Amino acid sequence: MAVSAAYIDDVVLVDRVLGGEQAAARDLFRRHRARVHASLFRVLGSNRDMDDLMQEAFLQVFQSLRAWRAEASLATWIDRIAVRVAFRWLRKRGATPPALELHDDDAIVPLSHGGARRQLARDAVRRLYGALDRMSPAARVAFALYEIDGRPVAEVAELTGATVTATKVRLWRARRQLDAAAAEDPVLREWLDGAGGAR
Amino acid sequence: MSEGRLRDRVPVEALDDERLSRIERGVISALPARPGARAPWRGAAPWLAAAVAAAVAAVALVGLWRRGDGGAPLAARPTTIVAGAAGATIDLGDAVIVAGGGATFSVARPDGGVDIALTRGKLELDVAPRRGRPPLVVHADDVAVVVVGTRFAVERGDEVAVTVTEGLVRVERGGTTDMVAAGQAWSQRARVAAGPAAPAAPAEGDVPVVATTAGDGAATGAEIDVDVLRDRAAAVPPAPTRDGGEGEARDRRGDARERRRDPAATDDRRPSGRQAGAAVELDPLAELAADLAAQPLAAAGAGASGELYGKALAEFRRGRAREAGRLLDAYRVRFPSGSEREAVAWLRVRIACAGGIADGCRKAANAYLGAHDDGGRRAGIARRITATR
Repeated sequence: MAVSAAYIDDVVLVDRVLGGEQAAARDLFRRHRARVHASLFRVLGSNRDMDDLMQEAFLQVFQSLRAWRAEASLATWIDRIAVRVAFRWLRKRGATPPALELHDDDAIVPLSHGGARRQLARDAVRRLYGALDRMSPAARVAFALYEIDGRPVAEVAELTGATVTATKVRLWRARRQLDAAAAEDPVLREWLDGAGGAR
Repeated sequence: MSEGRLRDRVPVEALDDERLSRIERGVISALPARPGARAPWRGAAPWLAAAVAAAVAAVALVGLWRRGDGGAPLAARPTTIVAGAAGATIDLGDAVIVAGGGATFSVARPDGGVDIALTRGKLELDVAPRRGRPPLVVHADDVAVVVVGTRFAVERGDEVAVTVTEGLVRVERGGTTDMVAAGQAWSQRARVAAGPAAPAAPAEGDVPVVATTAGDGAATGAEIDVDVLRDRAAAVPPAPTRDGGEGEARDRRGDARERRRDPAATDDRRPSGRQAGAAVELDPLAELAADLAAQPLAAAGAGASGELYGKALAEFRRGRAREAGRLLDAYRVRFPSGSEREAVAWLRVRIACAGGIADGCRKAANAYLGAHDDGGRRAGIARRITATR
């Protein structure tokens, strides 16, 4: 078990934050904001509450920082908090998913071949998150972390506080639901096929 | 399906700088105020012009006054000082160092103690009683002179010589310890012998001195703020007492300058130069703190656990006790059976006791004894600490 320089940096940085150094708090925020945002985005998709969620995640990070026992990397620990924030948001939102955000590029305009492909891809991603909206929060988070964020099953299990077996079951359910959604949505099906199929 | 199959197909929307700044402001402003926060060093080093400095002393900072990323008290880091031909006087508040011409030494203030490393030349020191604070230690070659409150001189030429004018110092070398009392001298060859007459006390006008020039008075451009080395508690002007005197407050703070100002005033617990060889009554807590500080810390071993312990040790030596403690916490979590367990426990004692022998110190000593009571010297010191309750 090697101790990396980054790990030692984290330990010292956390200590400075706990000592009340605002500069250290800013440093921690800037070091980890990209990964927190990426984690939230991949689980939740484009989201008008993203700024609030980022803020909520970091506030929880700072409030809980004393509990970080340095047994895991700080990044993994922060990821866990970000995932928890996303999970709670999904649960709170319940069965009434918000309407998908509309962008200017949704307008129907003549497109070049490349432009049409990009438009199609954006549309497919929105449909993907539409399908995810119909999953349970636990299945959705597991699916997003595994399939979209690219984390191994064991890490997904760790981040979500579930067993590896439970995580595999959630992934299986999520895939089955996505298959069902793709069966009714040719755009989504074509896009998923391009990624190697739904299975 | 494999992990990350969709990763590249779901691009993460970028957050623009304005949004990020807004989020950052929201987070930082919501953080609770920390009254104990360490203020960033303001770095206002007073620069005395070469002409002024040359009138009192010629000392140059030759390095090591760098600001690290930790925001720790800078005085904890060693400051190397080269005295000019005329020598120099540095008032630390709780100690005055009079450096002979050409003396080269570094000063650090780890957790309230004073750590001086003499490379060459002669230093005369007037040290207020430590009263439970970490000791003042002068290192010269392989000799360590541990002080609990005294007036003495250390010279490093062909050999190291120690001359004690007041009080008592402990000289440690290669595992042997000699107590050198007022009026006695010690050298590497002769060990303790009858000492010469007391060196002259520093002149009143010498203090405080902030030296800024090199050897012959030529400005180096280096700046030194000796003020940050000063013991603030000891340097605060004494509060007037009802009878207008300041004796009680002065005695509490142990301000070395005050004692020098009034040569007739003697601390009743320290012998004067005229009491050479007399029995010396020392503050037992200060003596214990000195014993504690004199115990060497184990060097870092190899491997990941050794690396982490080594980092904690380095932070401690830089005077960043809290960072060191945090790294030791990390060590305990990551290497519960690490080969440095005993060294880690002892370093915890050192950290906990850095501010004096108090509850936290006793607790750490007790924890050390609970796991490492092997009857050795460290265990003995830990037992003495726990017995102070």
